[in-house]
Amino acid sequence: MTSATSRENSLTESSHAHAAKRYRQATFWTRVRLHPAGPVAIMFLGLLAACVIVGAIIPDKFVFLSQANLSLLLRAIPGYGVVALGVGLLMISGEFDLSVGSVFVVAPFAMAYAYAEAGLALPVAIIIAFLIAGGIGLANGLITLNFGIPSFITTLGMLFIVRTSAPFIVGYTRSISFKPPPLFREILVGSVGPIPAQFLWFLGLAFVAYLLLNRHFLGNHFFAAGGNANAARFAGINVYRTKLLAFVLCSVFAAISGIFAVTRLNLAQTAPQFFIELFAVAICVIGGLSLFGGRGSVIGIVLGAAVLQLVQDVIILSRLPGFYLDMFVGVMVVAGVVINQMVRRKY
Amino acid sequence: MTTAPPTSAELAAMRRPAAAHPLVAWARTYQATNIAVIFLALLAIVVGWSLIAPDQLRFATAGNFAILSQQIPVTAIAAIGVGILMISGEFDISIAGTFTLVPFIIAITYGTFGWALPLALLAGLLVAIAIGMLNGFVVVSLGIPSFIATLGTMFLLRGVVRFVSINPKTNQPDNIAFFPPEAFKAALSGNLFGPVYAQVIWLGVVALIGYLLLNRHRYGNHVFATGGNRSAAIAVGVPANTVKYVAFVICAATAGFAGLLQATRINQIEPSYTLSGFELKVIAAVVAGGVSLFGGRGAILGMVLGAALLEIVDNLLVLLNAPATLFQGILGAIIIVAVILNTVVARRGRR
Repeated sequence: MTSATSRENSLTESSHAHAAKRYRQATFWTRVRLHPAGPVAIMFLGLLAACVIVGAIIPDKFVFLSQANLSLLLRAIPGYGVVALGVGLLMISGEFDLSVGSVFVVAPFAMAYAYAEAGLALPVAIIIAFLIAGGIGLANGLITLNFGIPSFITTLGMLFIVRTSAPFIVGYTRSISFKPPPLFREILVGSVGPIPAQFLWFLGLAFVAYLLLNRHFLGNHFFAAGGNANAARFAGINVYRTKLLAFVLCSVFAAISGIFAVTRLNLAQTAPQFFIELFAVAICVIGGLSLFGGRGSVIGIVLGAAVLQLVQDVIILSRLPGFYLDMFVGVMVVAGVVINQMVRRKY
Repeated sequence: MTTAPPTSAELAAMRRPAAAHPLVAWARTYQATNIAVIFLALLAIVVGWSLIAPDQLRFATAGNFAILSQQIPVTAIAAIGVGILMISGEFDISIAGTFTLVPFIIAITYGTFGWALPLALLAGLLVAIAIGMLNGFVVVSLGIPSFIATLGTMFLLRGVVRFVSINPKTNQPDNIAFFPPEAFKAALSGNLFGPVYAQVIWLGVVALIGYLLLNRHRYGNHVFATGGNRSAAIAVGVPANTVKYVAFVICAATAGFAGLLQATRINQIEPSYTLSGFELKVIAAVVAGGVSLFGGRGAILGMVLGAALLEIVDNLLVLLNAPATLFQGILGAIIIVAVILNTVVARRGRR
């Protein structure tokens, strides 16, 4: 009797131990594979390793590891990256925003206009930029949510309306030179040691987005609204207000990115910056965000932005024509969505 | 004594106002009525304005009509393909690439490789079919939303166009000249009489084929069924996936044909046209024409009138010396307003 129990015990113990061992063995790879940012992390590390190795072997032909190139790379990543953070937050809550391309241009232009031409104080000018961005985001959200129209159509229309109305108001193609106090410029686009300040700002903003998404109840609401709006409603979440907030946040992130660009160039233009919105969507998809909402991570967006700029850098360094970037983005968007779908099905 | 409860037909009759004239009733259900009314109103205003003040607005002149009769068909033919695809419930924003690449292939094979013209046209057709099949594969077989899938192929096609058109000396895409035989040019874009050009005939042909396909052929029923309610369509035996594949191919073929019309008219192909927002214009034309963005509703006449409406607005802006970028803003507004109206109309229809 005792022996039988002990044998049973030992059996269950051993099978438990076996299961635990198997679980432990599988856990790391499973976690990497099933994490939204798993594929992009592997891709990023592989690409980075390849670049570093090739750069170390033939430093004359492929000057990847030079100080100039690395600092250029770190300056380039935040450009699309900050826009993608906002687009990603919105995508997680189940909507799209293509109008960021015009917010990126119009909001900082308004800031430069208010500061340089209207002579307002810089903080007031920045607030004006954010108000314009927030207003555009609010309009996107109100039209999309009240009429039940797909958000990509609303924001596609908004992209073109805003892009053309701004030059129309200020008198067609113009550029305004924007010369803020040196301290402001130093804080925004200077450098800390060898690291450009924009990159640190990008990491900081990503951290804020991470806190919002993973450590704040609003993040839960974003995921819930994007994952299953009906279930979210039954759980007492105000989906309408959540999505409206995501629309506004998305526009504000685009305005921040635009302010960085204008400060760096000392110039604000009404000429459209082509396809920022599409690159931002591409970054999110490459970064493992689900197109249907409810799935994604901030680290994925950061790595997606890094991968895009790495590829851009490789294309420039090896003197390939620029259309390879177009092709890469096209293939990666489709491949990214396919991979995301496969991972989702496996869940 | 109890009265029998009203049947559903009687209830419907009670809810509606008194039975209208059959023509009015038909117009109410016809899916291009709104755009027809708007189009005719705009046309009346513009023509009236230009007749009253010909110095202010030179719209109703032979020269201007000649321009319109060459421009409207190009947009309208592409709109018919996109519209049929949209009725089947999908979307294509890669058509600017198709519009450029197909005539490009024809020009290269005919001009540079020296192939016979029919062979070059066949090559162009095959490329269009391949693009349509690729889009269909990514959307239907891989199950990706068509907006994102065709965004991917848009980038891809843009890359291909720049790849084949690159000038090794300047490292920039080059315009390619296209000089087909005179008879071919005359057939595709020659002057028929007065301000009317051959493109109008081609538009008529494509619209007629589209109408027969959509409203007089089994395939059309399948398209409406697939776009209206996909699972119901599959349940009654409609091959929904095949329907969508064919719709993607039709869309690519019409975009390629529109590109060919444009190329024979101006005798060259501009790779930069892939960046011009042509897809936006065509989508605006289709939704303004009353085609539902969600599929299942639409009419060929609506697509053609939507395209004509947009081209006339574009033309007006040129005549009034407005800045060219303003047109894109108007396009954006037209898209949003048209989709809102279509959604409201569809909701009312369902009630």
